[in-house]
Amino acid sequence: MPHNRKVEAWTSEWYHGAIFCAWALWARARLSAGRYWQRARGLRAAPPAAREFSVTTIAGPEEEPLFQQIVAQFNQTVPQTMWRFDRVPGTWEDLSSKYVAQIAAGSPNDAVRIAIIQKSSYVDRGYLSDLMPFFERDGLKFDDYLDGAFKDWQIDGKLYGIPAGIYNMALYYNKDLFDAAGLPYPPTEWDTDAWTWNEFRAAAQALTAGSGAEKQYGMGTTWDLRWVIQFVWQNNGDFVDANHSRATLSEPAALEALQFVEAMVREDQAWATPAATGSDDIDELFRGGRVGMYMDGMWQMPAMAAIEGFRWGVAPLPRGKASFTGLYVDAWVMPTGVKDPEQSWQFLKYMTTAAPQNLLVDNGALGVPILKSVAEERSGDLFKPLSPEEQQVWLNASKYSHLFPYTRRWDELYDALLPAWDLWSIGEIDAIEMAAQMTAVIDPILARE
Amino acid sequence: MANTRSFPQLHQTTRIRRRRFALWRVLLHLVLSIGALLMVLPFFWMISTSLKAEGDVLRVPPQWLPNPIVWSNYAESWTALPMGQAYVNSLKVASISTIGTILSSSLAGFAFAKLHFYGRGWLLLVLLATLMVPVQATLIPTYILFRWFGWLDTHWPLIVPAVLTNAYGVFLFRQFFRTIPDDLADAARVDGAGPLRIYAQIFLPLAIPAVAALGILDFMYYWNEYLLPLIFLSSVDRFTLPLMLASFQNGYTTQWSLLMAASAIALVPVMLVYLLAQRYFVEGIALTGLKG
Repeated sequence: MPHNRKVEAWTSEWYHGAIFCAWALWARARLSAGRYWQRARGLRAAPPAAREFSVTTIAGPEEEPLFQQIVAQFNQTVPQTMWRFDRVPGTWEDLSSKYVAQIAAGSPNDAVRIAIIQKSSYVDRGYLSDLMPFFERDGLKFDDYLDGAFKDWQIDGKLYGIPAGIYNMALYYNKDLFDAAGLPYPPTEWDTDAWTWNEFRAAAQALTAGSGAEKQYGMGTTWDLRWVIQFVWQNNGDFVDANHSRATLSEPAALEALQFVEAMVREDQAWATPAATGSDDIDELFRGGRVGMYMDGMWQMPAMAAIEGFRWGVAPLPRGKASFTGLYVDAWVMPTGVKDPEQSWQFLKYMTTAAPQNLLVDNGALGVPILKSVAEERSGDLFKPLSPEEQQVWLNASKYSHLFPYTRRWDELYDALLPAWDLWSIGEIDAIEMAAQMTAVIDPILARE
Repeated sequence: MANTRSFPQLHQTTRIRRRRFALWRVLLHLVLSIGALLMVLPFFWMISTSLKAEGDVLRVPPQWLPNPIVWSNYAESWTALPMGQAYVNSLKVASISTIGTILSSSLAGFAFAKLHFYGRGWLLLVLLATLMVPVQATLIPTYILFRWFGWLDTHWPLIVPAVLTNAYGVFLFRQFFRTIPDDLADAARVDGAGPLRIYAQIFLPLAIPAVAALGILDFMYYWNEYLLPLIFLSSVDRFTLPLMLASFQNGYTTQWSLLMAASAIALVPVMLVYLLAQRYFVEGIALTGLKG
């Protein structure tokens, strides 16, 4: 029946269109009315509400109260504004998803703590505001802060972040396994003749025992160039030159270090890698008592403090031709497009002061505080449950810090390195070939930078 | 052609066929059992891990049975975070979204299947084309839109798009309604029923398998949705369960035992929904010709 169908079509189209328009109008009217009444109630009942701002970062449930406390303290100092802390669950990648969406939509949080790994790509894409004009205007001095704290966040005379704390790497070691192997514990001083690559390798060999699924390894770390690069630095090498203009992994200093690691993995079979153990989580193997020495950052301290099955300690990284450990500094940043840069800066500036830094120490969070005065006064309170000597391992680590050369296109570069790294990991190529393959992919990317 | 075989010969042939059939069934069950075991293995690992001490979680070789059994992981995972609130939030978002999706999709599916209007074919094509647009591509415009609405940090951005833009559901219902003869609608029309009444009193009651299929699939999807809550929600008291589960991870470590215990708790509603509606679910998938 064509007539009926036409009528049906007409009514159906207009019926749905009318419903949608009515819904849209209703929704908009509700919103407007809500805002009107909120304003009206505010005018009648109370003085204008404080302006609201938000600060965010990834945080687990155990860290959230600390950040809430910092924000509450800050709110007491600036009664005309009201800040709140928004916890982002999950990983740095999750924070990045949210951050990028907010930047693109033009409504970012007013302050955010981001990881150092995010810095290069954010700077490159213009996601971070320059803080240097505020820093200089308010008379802050870099000398008041630990050496190197701000280095990573200063690029071409601009300052992109206020360091949240300083992280370095060192060796966590299993004291029970050292005792069982009849080995003395490593020293607690950095840059000493008593703890060189030779002593380190000998200890790793002595700690290695057994075979198959129950094998015990002398050494382990997160199997990633960003961790293993510590040994390249200790041999005065790096993977790119100081100007980030060319790869240097094939130079003798870097090659010798990579071959040293290769020998521990392949000849000694003393280094726990994912290929050897079938597990990416070498830190779990250490916590399970199957790795004698484990190289990682201060950020592992809370997880290590929960170990109950054996006694453990912290030792410096061994010395090669020099003593070096990576410097990792996450930072509080001001996203581009914040609604009031001045208020955002006030919060960031507050994070450089003693009050929040002391709170961080009280809670054992975010590594070494950046303010020299707090780091010195509170040194005894840091890194519990370590002994005072072992606390000094972490406190002195910053003297041997080496900046990780995050290039502007670090994300792209890192992805390009992985194929050669994986082939080396499974024994398909040797260190020389890996370095050559990496150089071949690094140089064109650096040229584009 | 006449059967020239004797009864004993026939008997023997039947026995051979039965044996072959039995052998085939054994093989079939063996393959299916191995497949089922592989499917169950991750689930078993989750339950096993949820009962382990933290140090035993990533032991190599894997420790399949927890020793000792740490029941307290369940209590700890529940109290370490406001899981109860997250449970309520997830139930609210997933239930409203699912019911809303079923209503809107069945209405639209009915229109595409049984009403004749100008541009129906093209409209359906455009609707189906939206299936190919990834959520990441629409995230920013959606974010701007909901900021304009004042809906950021509320559950509306999770519910409204789910209810109004489910092309998959529309297509599923359209396919289902096309299998129902037009005669039913014509008979109702002769009796004076309008399109809405025909939809509500004749077609929707017949579409229970499709409702169950879409209900289960959508409930599971909205229950597990992570990206949109991550982007749109800021206050912890509005977090859904996947955000709470992610809280057991941070930038550097993961509390596997607690994460697995919380995951096991989070699985309960989805399993209940599936168990209650699985008969209709299979029927619905079969009738609409849609497979995952």
